Amino acid sequence: MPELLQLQQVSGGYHGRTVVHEVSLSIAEGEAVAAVGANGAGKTTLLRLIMGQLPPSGGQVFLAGHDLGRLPTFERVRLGIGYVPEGRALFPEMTVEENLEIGAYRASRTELRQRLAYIYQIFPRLQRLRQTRCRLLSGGEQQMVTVGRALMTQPRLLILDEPSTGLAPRVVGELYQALRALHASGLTVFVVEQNAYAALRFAQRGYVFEDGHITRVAPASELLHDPRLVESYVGRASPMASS
Amino acid sequence: MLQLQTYLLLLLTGIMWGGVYLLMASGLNLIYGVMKVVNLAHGDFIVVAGLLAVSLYGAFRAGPALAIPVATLLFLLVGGLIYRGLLARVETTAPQGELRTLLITFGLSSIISNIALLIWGGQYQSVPFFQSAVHLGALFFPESLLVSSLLAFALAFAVQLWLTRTRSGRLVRATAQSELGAASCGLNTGRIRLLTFALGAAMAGAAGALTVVLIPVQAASGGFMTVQAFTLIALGGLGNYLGALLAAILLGVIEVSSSYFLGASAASAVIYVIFILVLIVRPQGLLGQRGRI
Ligand SMILES: Nc1ncnc2c1ncn2[C@@H]1O[C@H](COP(=O)(O)OP(=O)(O)OP(=O)(O)O)[C@@H](O)[C@H]1O
Ligand SMILES: [Mg+2]
Repeated sequence: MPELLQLQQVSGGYHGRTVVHEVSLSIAEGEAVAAVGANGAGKTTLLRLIMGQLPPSGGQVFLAGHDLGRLPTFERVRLGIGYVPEGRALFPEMTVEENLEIGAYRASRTELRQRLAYIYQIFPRLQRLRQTRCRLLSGGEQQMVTVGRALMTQPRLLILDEPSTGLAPRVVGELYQALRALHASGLTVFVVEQNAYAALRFAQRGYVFEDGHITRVAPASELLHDPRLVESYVGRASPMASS
Repeated sequence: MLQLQTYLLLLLTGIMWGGVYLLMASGLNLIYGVMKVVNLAHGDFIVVAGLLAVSLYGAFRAGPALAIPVATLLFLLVGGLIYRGLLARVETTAPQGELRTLLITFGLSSIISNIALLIWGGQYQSVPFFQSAVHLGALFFPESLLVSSLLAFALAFAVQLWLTRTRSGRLVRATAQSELGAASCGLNTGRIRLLTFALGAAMAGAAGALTVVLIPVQAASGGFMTVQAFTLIALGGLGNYLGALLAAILLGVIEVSSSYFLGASAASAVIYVIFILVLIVRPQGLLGQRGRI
């Protein structure tokens, strides 16, 4: 299978302190991959390096074989990486629909309508909330808007940073159900989570991330049945995504 | 009867001064709202634009009709160059990034006011335009105040329409509300910041070229104007457009009526008392979240 995203010995950090150490990983077209790691392991930093939010101190990031070099974030999005950042980064004073529309601000009117219809099909709840300001939504609804907004850019690869943070177990289940459907329709998904259980149940393959290093890569089912791993990262594991 | 007329006059004059203050603060408010940068050179932009209008008047007897477009375009360019050359090079996310941008605009402020001092000298100057009085029923107003406030409200309204009703305005608001979110939508946020700073500077230029018919300026007036404009936008809730409008009218009416009843020196004290009270009672500004860019 062709590699869609490839990292070669990528390092980076903040103000001279390296947080991500020579990480190499690859994600094939159509794959669903998770990276799990504890609080402060450097997961967000890794994604910021992939998205060009942070200049790497070493290594390269390739998208479909092209070196992304120092491209700024917006160029990477235009090349087909959809990004669901940590903390959601919504436009709080705008409505749900306005948020979604900005994700496709370069699309024509008809194109925009089609993409909106697609998002409302994945998240029917958003259609009912379309005129609501995002500031007023629940955490789960906000997360749906963020995912929807990233999908409006028509990505080939969707990258999510801890989508389950702060959500009730049932909502986490709903969210991952939607991600499953998206993956089934052919989207490549890379999700980073502290909630190893939810992410590994969804993914096909998993990377274990510790202190800025990748320490293991294995089929997700194998990692899921590793008691040590589930214990260390899930903590109070709940049967949430098992619906 | 006479009482009522006095009150009406004070109210209308206050609203008009509010419009003028709003115009003088709009650029600062836009730049803060989008970029979270306090442009300490804002007042100096206003002053230089005003002094430029004085020179245009001296050389060609030209009034605001020429001075405003000239100053607007000039400061659009100056703002763009300052952003490209200086501000874009400072990462606001870096440690003390905000402090560094503050220091840059502070440095700019002293450079600009000293250059202005070399060119125009230190005396107060004004442009004698719109010098008649306008009668509205039994009331009359200085023409300069009437014209300035009408244009000021028109510009404020236009900016509000642009931000809420147009595509480019909406992208600017998106960047203001979440720069990371905007970048994740494929927006070139660096370009939006450039546009914002240039527009904010241009608004200061327009304000200076217009209000010099009403408020005489000298090379060092900029610092005070920045403080005044900052007071207004803080009262309105930093970066809040509706709040700034409300704060401007409130400040105008309070200033005009307290200087009528208590004298001019008491008026400025009253305004700062109210400002401090608002900071204590409603530190998020008059409107809080509502009306944010
Ligand atoms: N902007 C920043 N400036 C300086 N240090 C940072 C910054 N962001 C993160 N760090 C540091 O980098 C390390 C890794 O942080 P990172 O946010 O990447 O971890 P994470 O795995 O995403 O954690 P979490 O599960 O809490 O989201 C931490 O030690 C953190 O303190
Ligand atoms: Mg994180």
